[in-house]
Amino acid sequence: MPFTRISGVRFESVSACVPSNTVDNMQSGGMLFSGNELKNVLKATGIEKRRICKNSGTTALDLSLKAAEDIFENTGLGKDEIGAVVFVTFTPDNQMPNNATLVQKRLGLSNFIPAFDINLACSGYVYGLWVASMMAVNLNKKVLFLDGEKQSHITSQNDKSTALLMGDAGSATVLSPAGKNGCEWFFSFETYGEDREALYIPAGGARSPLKKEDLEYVEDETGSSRRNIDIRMDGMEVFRFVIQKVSSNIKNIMEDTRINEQDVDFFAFHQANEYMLRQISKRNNIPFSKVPISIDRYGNSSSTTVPVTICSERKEQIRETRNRVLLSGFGGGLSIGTGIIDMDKVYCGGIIEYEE
Amino acid sequence: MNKEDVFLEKIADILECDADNIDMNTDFRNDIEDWDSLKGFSMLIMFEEDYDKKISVDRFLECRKIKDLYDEMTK
Repeated sequence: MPFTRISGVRFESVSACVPSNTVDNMQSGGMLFSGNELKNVLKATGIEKRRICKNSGTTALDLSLKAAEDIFENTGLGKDEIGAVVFVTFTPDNQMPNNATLVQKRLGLSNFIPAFDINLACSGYVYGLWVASMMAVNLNKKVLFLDGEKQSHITSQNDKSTALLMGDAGSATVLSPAGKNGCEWFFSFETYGEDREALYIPAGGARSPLKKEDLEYVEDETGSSRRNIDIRMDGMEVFRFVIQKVSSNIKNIMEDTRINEQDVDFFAFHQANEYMLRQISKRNNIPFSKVPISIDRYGNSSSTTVPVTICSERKEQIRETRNRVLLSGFGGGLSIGTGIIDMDKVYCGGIIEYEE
Repeated sequence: MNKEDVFLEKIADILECDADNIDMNTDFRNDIEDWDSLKGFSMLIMFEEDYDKKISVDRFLECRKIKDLYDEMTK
């Protein structure tokens, strides 16, 4: 399996931000599931609480900017040091123009920088790291990489397969050129466009422009109902993809790079659901103590679960020590991104709460 | 280990329980605490991967005991 390597870059800072509004699944799930059923669903997914924007006007960009501001305030990073902005999201403020250009304006960054979005779902954080790293080396300047999603407005509260999963979150990461001092990083990507409908939003894009009926809730054979503009998920297909393709992707990159589970300090996995993460870990002989979990408190915020998990579960560790970290994001596309990078005494602002 | 024990080990892995706690007569949906559909998905995938058997969701729902599942594998 092909993998790619990059060196000469440093993971300098990371912070994440979630809305202060907390939803308790034990309460909100009562409409969808009976008591015992609900208990088992919450146990399997591992999601007890989630963070959801209370105000419909709050966006992934707001959350991510708050995380970026934390980095500027606490590290002394200068606005003029930023040589580019990359924003990974599939829920931008507007269809056009993109989020990254608004970040340049709202943070008061230089006009003379490239700024663009990358449209990806759950695998996005790893893609963003890869692209931002290449840019940091190429530009020889620091790159501000934001990753945020607000899925609450496109998740049906009457859909058993998604309603209790999704959370909103934002993050900011700074990559800087490190010259010869940087360690070698590895990345591996896989794409299964043939399975794109396992996780998708049917209407509202150019292929199926928004019609009035797309806003109506339609019930399916399982009793769930959703609009055509809501995320829909084929649970069995996604589960199969994760158990088979993602497990083997992680196995392959470790074999090919000759980095085994003992060489990795922790595994920052996309928080899809906890049962899946245990199964992936078991298949790769990864001790579960090396797999931080944040889904129980924050839910599944698509690609942003990776920085949320790092910030919530490994803040002190990455601030104080050198770590080799395997990151893996997988989902919508279907798409997999896995990276093995180092985080050596980085600035981490942890999880910041966004008050609405 | 005989074939039945190997099968029970695989099922125990999916159910996240000790293999000693289950046998062919275990009613896996009701006797096992925390049963949920993810474990069902996991079984269907294991049948395909390890036994090269694709069984339909309807057929799977008819299976009540672990023995019923095992019989599907040995058909």
